[in-house]
Amino acid sequence: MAAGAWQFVDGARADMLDGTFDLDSDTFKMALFLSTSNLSTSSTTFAGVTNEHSGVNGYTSGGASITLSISGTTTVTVDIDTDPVWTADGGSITARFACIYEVAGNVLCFCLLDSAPGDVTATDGNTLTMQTHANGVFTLADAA
Amino acid sequence: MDYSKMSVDELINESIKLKREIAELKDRRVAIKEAIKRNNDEAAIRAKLGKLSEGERNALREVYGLGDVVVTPGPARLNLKGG
Repeated sequence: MAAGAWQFVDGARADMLDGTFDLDSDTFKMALFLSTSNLSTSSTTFAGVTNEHSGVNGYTSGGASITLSISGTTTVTVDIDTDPVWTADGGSITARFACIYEVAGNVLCFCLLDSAPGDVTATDGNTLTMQTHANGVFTLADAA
Repeated sequence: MDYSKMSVDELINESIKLKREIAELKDRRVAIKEAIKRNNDEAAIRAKLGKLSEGERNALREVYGLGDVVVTPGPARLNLKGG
């Protein structure tokens, strides 16, 4: 099982450039979605994305709070300070996608938890960790 | 071993010793047969697992679990174009 890469939604680039997203100041969350979700590059607001994992089995609707940080100068990396971890409790947590979104705002990016594509399941008592890649969520650097 | 030169007591003892060794060998044979059966069962299960659909595998995961899951998405790609 290998996860896919984070993928920006279509509006995210403009949202970053016009200040809609202040990545290291605004409040962001990471949420999990089912295979039936309409989450795609066309997604805009978090409210418009369907079929989030229901708020059961250790998952809270809306997902987990995350803090995005920006580091570097010529190569700037956007990273998640603390990896979100969900512990399945009373049943399994099964999801197809994760997304990062601004609270009460737009979706920044999303990924497949299993690039197959497939669902990922943490069974009762086990954890599901969204571990940040060594290169963060994305990096902005001079063109090679 | 020349049994014709042994006393009756020695022959009886030798017979008892052989009987005990036969019993031990029988136990070992049973253990070997059980190990073969376990290996065959495991091989059959592995062969079956390779043919399961994603839904069947997920159902098995639901029942038996896979332990903690760590997902590491790769970084997003931005393509900046300069003038």
